[in-house]
Amino acid sequence: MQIDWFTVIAQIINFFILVWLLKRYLYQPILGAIDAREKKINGQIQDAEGKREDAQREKALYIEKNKLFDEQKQQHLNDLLDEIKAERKKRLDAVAGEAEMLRAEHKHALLTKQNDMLKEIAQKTQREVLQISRKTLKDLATVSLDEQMIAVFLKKLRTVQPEEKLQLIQAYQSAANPVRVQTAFNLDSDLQNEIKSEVDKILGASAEYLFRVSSQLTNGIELSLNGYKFSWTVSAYLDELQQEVSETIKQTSDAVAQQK
Amino acid sequence: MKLSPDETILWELGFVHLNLTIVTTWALMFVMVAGAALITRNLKSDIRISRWQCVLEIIVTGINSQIKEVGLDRPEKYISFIGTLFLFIAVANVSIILPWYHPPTGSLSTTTALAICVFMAVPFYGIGSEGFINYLKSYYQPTFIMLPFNLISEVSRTLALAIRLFGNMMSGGMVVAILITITPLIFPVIMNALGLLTGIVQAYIFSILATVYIAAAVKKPSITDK
Repeated sequence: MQIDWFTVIAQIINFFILVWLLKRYLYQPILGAIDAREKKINGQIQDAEGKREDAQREKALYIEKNKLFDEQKQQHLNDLLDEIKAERKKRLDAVAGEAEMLRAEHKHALLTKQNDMLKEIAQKTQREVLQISRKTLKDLATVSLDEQMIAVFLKKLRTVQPEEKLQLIQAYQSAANPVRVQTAFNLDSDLQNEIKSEVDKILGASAEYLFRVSSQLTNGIELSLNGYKFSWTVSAYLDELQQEVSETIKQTSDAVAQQK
Repeated sequence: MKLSPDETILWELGFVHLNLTIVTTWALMFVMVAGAALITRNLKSDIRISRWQCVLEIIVTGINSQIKEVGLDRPEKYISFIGTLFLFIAVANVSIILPWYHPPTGSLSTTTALAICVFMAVPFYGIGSEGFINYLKSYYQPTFIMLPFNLISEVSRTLALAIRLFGNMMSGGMVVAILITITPLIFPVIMNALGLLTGIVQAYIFSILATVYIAAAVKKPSITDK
């Protein structure tokens, strides 16, 4: 057991060669790979950290946006509800107004209809009354109602007020048309002549006349000249009579009230 | 019975001769370098790596952490020397499981060569770290009286390194050889297994002592600052 110095030297050289070879093929590559991995992992960690921060920021932004969206949604919902309420009220008001208008129209129509009916009844009544009066007068006094009405008209002409007479004269003087005489029945020539002579007396001149039968007049006679009218009709007579009766009733009731 | 593989001469030309120790060392060097080159040829820096790369990384990082634990702050500077020391001795010792194999560490010439390498490495790293003058001054520490003792210490610990490794490996081989002659059936296997353990422990002891010696020569900057 002794030291072989050649082997010692050879082993020292071998060892240093091995040191160099292992440094070249083992330590450097392995340590380099470890360093590269550490750097890579650090990079990934930093990247992940950055992404995490981004995600946190995004999350905060999303929460904020979500909150804002909820608020806006609620606001829009409230606005919509208000609009619906307002629209409902408006439509209800419109419908109520329309209903009111329809009711008024209906009421007006009913009143119109009622008036028409009343008017028709009145006209019918007049016709019936006249018919009865005519028959009664004819049977009892051998006088026709038409003749009686003309007589009354002529009497009214004779007793015409001076203002009215003046108006008739002025109307005659300013007119170029003939004097129109409308009746509900046919006038015979005697009655026409009587009327002509009475009117000529008032006018103080011999005027031209146009006699016409009008279906619009239920009964009576109407003289018209350039807008001026002078008439006597049963309706007017009855209206006048009704007015007089009403005034009498009113006066009577006032007197009774004063006595009380 | 040959106590050392040095005695097996394979080729000789005057002073120059090739014995079993040198040839076995070359074979081990080839296997180690070729294996390392093959594995590190396709290294990956990804999270998923090959098993062999993982094994090498465990070995290299393990050596690195051991160097760091001893007190050397930049282990990558010393790993080439200390790591090769450990790996060579460990591979040489573990290979005793191969038949007809004689570990080169069972040769006093090899252990002496390794001890001389450590003996040279200590001033090399010491001077590299502290400078030539400062390194020489360390022999005067704590007083100049300690100079001869320090010098003796340097030589004696080198001798101790060489003899310790040689003694352990040679004795392990001797014990197995003797047991084979006495009880050739089971005991040699047990002793071989024990030899594996002893071999790894010796590799660890040798390299860690070398690290301690180098660390003693290299002052730590943090301590200097204090």
